[in-house]
Amino acid sequence: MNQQNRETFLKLYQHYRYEHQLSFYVNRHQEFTRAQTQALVFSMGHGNYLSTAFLRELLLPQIQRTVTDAQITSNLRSRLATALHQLDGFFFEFFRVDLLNLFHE
Amino acid sequence: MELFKRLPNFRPISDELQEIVPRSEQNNYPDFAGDFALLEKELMPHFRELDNEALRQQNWYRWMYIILIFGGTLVTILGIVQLTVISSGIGISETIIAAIIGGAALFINASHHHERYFNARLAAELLRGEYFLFLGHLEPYINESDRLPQLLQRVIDIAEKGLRYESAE
Repeated sequence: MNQQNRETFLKLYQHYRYEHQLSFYVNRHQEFTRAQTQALVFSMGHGNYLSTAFLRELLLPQIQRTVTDAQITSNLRSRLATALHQLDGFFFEFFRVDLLNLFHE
Repeated sequence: MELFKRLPNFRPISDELQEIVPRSEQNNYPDFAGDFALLEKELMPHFRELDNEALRQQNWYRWMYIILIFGGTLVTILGIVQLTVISSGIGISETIIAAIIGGAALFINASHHHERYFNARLAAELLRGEYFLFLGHLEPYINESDRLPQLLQRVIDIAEKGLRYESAE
């Protein structure tokens, strides 16, 4: 794989893997937070049996897309950041993904 | 309303074809056209199958809880009504509903929807990872000579594990 192809791949990876995955986690986290608030409001008026059960069993975020490409995310995350000249933002955002992973377990 | 957004439905699988990199976007990367075609042929059918299986099993898992939660609530309500209204019909209805729910719970438990959902989802996401490893010529797809055999073997291994459920007991 030549240098040009490598850079093209990194752009492709950033867009369709990294950003896609990040937006999935961010959206799911926001959705869960809103659902939690709605369930609390709902439980105030209707007793907490149903809403608590919904929260626990139905609204738990899907275990989805938690599998990452270790080869790329660990070995290439610094290289990705350097290649894309986004050392200050991109590198740290990977840790945000890890943090969101924790929220969803 | 987000609270009810994840409720189960009767058609969990969308008609839209699942894509990892949309076909319309693939044209923007002509250097990878050959790899995209290979992945579409060898990996994507398995990915879609596993993704759909995960969605189906997840939907069943959610139905299970809907049945148990609302069935349990109904039986409880009927029990309370029976205390205030003397009627043998209510007691019989309560018994029948409780028996149906008990049977459904046993059936659902034996179906292992939750485990199958996890299994299929994990395999689908592993295939998503393989897709990018192959595109990037990364380990284990570094050598040009055995890239394709490696892909075929790994895809088959992952897909088989994803669709097979083995009890841990």
